[in-house]
Amino acid sequence: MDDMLKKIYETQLWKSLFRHGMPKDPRNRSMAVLTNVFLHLHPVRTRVGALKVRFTWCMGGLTFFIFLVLTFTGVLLMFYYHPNARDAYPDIQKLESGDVPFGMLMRNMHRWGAHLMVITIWLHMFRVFLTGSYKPPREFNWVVGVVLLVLTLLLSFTGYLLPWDQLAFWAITVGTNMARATPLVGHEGPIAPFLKIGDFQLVTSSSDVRFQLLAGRIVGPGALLRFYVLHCILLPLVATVLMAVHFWRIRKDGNISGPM
Amino acid sequence: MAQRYNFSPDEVQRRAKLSSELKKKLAPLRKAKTEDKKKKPGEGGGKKKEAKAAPKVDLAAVRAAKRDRRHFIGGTLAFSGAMAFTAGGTNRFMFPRILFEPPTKFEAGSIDDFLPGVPHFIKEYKTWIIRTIDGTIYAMSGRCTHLGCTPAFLASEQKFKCPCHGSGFRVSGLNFEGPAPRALERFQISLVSGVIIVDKAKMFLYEKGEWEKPESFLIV
Repeated sequence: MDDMLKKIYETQLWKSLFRHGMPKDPRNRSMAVLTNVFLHLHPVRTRVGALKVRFTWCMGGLTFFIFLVLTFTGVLLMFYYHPNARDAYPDIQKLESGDVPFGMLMRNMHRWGAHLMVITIWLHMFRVFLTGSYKPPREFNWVVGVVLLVLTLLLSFTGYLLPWDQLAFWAITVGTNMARATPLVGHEGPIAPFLKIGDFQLVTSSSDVRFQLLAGRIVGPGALLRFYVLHCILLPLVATVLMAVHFWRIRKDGNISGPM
Repeated sequence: MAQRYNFSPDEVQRRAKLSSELKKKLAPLRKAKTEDKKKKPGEGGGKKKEAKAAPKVDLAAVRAAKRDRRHFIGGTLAFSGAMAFTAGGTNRFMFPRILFEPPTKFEAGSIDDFLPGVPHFIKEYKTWIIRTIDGTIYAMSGRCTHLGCTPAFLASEQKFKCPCHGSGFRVSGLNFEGPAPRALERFQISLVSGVIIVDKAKMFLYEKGEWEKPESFLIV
């Protein structure tokens, strides 16, 4: 048995995968973390006190786990969903009616997961606030976290339109109407009315930020497609990059904070 | 060195010896190099000339440095220009030239289509055509001034009620309950050979006193 293992360890495949010995001594244990692209974001060593659930509540980790669940179920839902005005609502009905095995489960895991993620993020921030973990040297990571919170809320908002029912339509109508009042780039907001050449208004209902978001002046098929692309591609990509930064900064900013 | 790396005394001695040996080896080379430098500017000249020539500025080098700086600034400008162009183009890409939305100007119908005292909703254009009993007709926006839902007309209470957050409006369009901050807007209305034409692009706001303008209503 030992001989066989030894032979495996000496194959080129094994050596190309793992560039260190068995993680039995401190050096090789460190190497195991440092030479792994996924693990190297994580601190090499963690304080025992910081691992207590009553200290961290594990809310950051849970948020990440829920993000993974949402990515998994979201990709599955994409196999059955067409982001156009004709098919979107019937596709959701097909998922919920049992036409798709486990369709109801996947859709609801995605929907409730989204709600839960906002809650866990809130609890995570609450914990970080209570333990003072936002203080220097971790102040930048708090800012990264706030951006991640905004991205999560935007993901929730863009996902809201996709079922294309009355709730979705009016929620997005109401939500995007607020974009009218954006300073400078919203046509009903401050500054915009003064931006004109002669009598020609530069920022109008068809050239402002709301138009850019909706691909029109009203919530229509163009808005559905734009929200779909934002929800499935752009926002998750940005969130993933920032999450990598967020985790890496924990390591760089002096590890997970522990009880004093 | 010894302190920094915590070497044993023997090791420290060994290293010191090595470095002094290396110095001795390199000494003649260094000397040759410095002499080389001294010789160059004074080639063929006397000692006085040599002293004058020494602080002479190497014009070619200065020109090269300037060229490098210009090169750098030009390159930076060109690159930022290209980036700005790309950003602008990407932004423009998000605004299509053709819209599949109802036009802002439309024919609402003839005067006889509208009964006095009964608000009439034109769904496609989200516009109310209201003919009052005392004989005026105005076109009113069907978009709530709070957050843009569509208030419905409740005939029994003679008011418009928004389903989203409960804003209420009188038949005139004045807001009187709920979160709506302003009255419903009126649109430009005109009569062309018996047909009522409404232009949603021209709005008349109550709070600016624009409802008195002649374009905002018709008299029957």
